[in-house]
Amino acid sequence: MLTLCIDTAYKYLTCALLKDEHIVSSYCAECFKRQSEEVFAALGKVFDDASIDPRSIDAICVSQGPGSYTGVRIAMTIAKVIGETLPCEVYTISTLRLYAGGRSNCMVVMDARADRVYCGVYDGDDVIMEDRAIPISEVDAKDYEIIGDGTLLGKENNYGNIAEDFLNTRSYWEKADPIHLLTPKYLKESESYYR
Amino acid sequence: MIELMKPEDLDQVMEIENSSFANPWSRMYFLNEISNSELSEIYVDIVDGEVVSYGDLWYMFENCDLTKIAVKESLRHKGYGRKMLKHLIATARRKGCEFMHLEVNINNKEALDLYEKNSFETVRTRKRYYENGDDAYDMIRGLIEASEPRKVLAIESSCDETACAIIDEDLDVLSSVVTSQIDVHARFGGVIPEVASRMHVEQISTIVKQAIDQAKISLDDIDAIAYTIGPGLIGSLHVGAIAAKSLAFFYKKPLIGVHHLKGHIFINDLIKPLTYPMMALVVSGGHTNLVFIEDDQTFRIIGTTLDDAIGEAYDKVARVMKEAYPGGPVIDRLAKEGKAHYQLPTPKVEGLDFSFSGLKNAVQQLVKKEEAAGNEIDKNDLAYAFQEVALNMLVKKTKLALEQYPCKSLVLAGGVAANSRLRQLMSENFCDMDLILPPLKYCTDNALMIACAALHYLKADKYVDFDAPSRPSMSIED
Repeated sequence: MLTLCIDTAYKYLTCALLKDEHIVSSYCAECFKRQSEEVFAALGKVFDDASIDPRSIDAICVSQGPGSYTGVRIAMTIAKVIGETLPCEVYTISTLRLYAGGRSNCMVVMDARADRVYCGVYDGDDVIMEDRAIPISEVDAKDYEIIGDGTLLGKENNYGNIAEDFLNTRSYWEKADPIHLLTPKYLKESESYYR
Repeated sequence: MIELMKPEDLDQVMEIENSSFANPWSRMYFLNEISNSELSEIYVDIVDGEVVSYGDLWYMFENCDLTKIAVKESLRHKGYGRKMLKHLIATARRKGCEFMHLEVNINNKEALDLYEKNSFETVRTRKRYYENGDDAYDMIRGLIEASEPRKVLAIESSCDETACAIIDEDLDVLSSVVTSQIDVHARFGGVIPEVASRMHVEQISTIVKQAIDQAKISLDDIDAIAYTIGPGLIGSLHVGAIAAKSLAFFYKKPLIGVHHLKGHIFINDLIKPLTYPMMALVVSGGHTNLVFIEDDQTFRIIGTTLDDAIGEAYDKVARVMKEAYPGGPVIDRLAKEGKAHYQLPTPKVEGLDFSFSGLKNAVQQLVKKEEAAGNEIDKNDLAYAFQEVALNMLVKKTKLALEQYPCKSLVLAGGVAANSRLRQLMSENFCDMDLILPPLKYCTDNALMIACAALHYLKADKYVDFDAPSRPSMSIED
């Protein structure tokens, strides 16, 4: 199965072509808030490097959020439109679970602004703490390996290798069916915008 | 709008028929053609509720006979004949016909010219074909070998409508799908950008899929993908841009980034052939502009609002009156029941520019004053007073603009073009020129307008790259 993986949810822009258990080609670059301008150049590169016609993919997998709202919508829009028209299968994975990359005892933190973080804790197959948006002060890092914005917790930033993360989290991908009902996971309800 | 003739069009069609042909068809004949015969179709072009032209096709296996085209006498030489002919050719081609045949009086130079320009060739002469002894030419054109008209798929998502449409160069509308978020935003009294963006993502794939399915074509048959590049809400624009670029990338199609307001202007291509130079009064929730359009590629803003857009002013005044969002339709409705009672000052602005914030404040103060005095506000009269001042300012500035920039035609565009009083004022004040009022269904945002404008970009080979950023405050002059 040839799968196009895209993550535009946070600071990086990652595109990767996965053929079964191998990465055929990948692109990953820091690209905060420029993903919408850069994403198609990146896609062009991974398809060119692999000498593969974009239309020959069998599936698309994207990170569903949480993350930058605009960013999450980029990959999601590509997946929905191409998934419906090509058509092809669409899979999603939580951005935090993706970044955890199947590691054991791993906490993923991403800046959610206003002294809050998106945070999830994973241990291989197990979800220790569901994805949530919480104040930084409430984060208990314990002795978890920290992925993401570690500096917010007095540690180092570490974003791993997101193309490999896609490969290593295949068993957690969720199939979108039907595709058109797919929505990003914002962790903030639309209702909260109505005063 | 060109559509199949209905029985209620018969009176108008008969009028044109009787004044156009020496041996006109009878009413019965027309009724028979439109009600019984599966092998024939009559199309009528309706502009401002009036039949301006019609044409009749007979289908005979691979051949299609164009039996007649007629244009209302007072409206000839305005391009309606050409518009109808192009529509009939496109229709016959879509039905799978290979040839189109017609007979024309050899003395009818205008008709001959029109047919020759549209690739018809004379194959023989029929001597004394007509009752008066005139000869006729048999003319034929192929429908297959002629290059297919190019098709554009367009996506609109600049504010709170998610839409997709497909049109071809002959202005044949293959599909147009729109979904509006207005009910959701009405709950808060305005569009919340983040919520709008979210709803676009929810709707986008369904809308695109529906447009393709309804057009009964494959994306391979599309020649370009267009989208609204600006102006609009940045988050909303992004979704449409990414959707359009996804299709362009996967299907290897050129990309066209359309200015939203050009869409509001060029949707009028569907109504009648536009003539230049043209003046556009663009009025919506985000814009109040007088645009001088030298030709279809050259736009100049000669007047604009110094503060609020007119639609914004309507929304704010509706809020002061504790009425629902959007304010335009509400105030329009209330004003119909209102009378001259309250006095509101006419904003004084130099030149061709507009201002609405002072007027809005005046409404606010008037309401406060009346409430303080214990008087109940007559909403109808207040709506009337506001609307008369606001709309007459538009008319006055448009007149001034036309004095400074003489134009062949004047077009009203944008959401506020749906306002009934504005349409009435425009008709009264500009009856001496070619005035184009878009049908109500085209006043709100849709993708067909983006598709219509995209055809002008296609003609001029104006494309954008995949890295083109969306432009929330783009000028129409760019």
